[in-house]
Amino acid sequence: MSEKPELSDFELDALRETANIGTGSASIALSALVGQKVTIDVPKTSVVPVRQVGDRISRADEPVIGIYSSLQKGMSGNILFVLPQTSAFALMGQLKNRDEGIAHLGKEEMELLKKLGSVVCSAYLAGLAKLFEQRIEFRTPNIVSTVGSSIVDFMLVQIADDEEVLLISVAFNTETPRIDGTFTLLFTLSTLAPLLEKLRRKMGMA
Amino acid sequence: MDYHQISGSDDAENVSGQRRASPSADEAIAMGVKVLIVDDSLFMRTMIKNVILSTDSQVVGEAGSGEEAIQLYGRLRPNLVFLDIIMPGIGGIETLKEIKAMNNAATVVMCTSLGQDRIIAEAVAAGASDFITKPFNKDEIISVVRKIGG
Repeated sequence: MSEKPELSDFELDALRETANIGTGSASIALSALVGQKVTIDVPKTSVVPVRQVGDRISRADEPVIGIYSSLQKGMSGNILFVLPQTSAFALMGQLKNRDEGIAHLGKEEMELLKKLGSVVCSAYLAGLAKLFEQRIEFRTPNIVSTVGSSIVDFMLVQIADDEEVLLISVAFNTETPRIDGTFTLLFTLSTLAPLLEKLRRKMGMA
Repeated sequence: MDYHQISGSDDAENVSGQRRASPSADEAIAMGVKVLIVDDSLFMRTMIKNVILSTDSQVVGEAGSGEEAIQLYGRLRPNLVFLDIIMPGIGGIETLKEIKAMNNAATVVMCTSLGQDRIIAEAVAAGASDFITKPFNKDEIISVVRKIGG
């Protein structure tokens, strides 16, 4: 379901395609890391108050692992890679060659997940950098283990609760083992304007 | 969706809205390659179109679905088709097969995303001439058009 206040269909189409390209790059990196084919869903866009972001990305009460970073140069916004905890266990089992998966994420596993998140976020942004033909830099990602509804409490501390943000999310999964997750780009409406300008320029409209 | 309107006659409407008579084969070469762009994303179609319009080639039509692409191909007989692989409804592979059934010599370049290797192999087996991977840059598109234009 897409909500689109103040964004034209054309802009939303461009934003979805941008997310498609980023997720395509990220899924290749993830596929190489886990040795499994990664299937990606169609991008979904929504504009919501920041307090509702967690509910849009996962179930409110679901334990999740979030790896997040803010974009620093070339683009403003945030990137978020979310795995339900069960998927994080399966992913870790795959990385550690344990068919039964693992049942606990210790310091070592969290560090490994953070590195994996950094690689896939980097691949995602490399896709965007190629699209926009410019360098994009991001902060070293952070990792958090929490429930879906509170993930934004960690990553968006500088944004007021009622401020609206644009989310562009793409779900992905692998079949064996079953790993589900989402890649999300998040922009406050004020940081969205430069991105829309880039897209318009890309299309020769600015 | 914002489609390029194509008349039902032998005349086609170019992207600037001016009408022209269908060119002869020699004229077509002199005027550059006639291109049909097929992608469900208007953003992608616009990006490709802008690059082609910066050359001496022309975009004779745009389609946002496989169904429209098949119809437009039959009507316009372009020299080159840029065809997105993943589209809702009739997908790129099926569209490619339909176009090849109409004209086995059709030149169709598939537009793919990273990670679609298996589908690319299927497209090549179905007669795709080439493929470009999104996000493509201007030079990649121009290179394909020049290859076709000789």
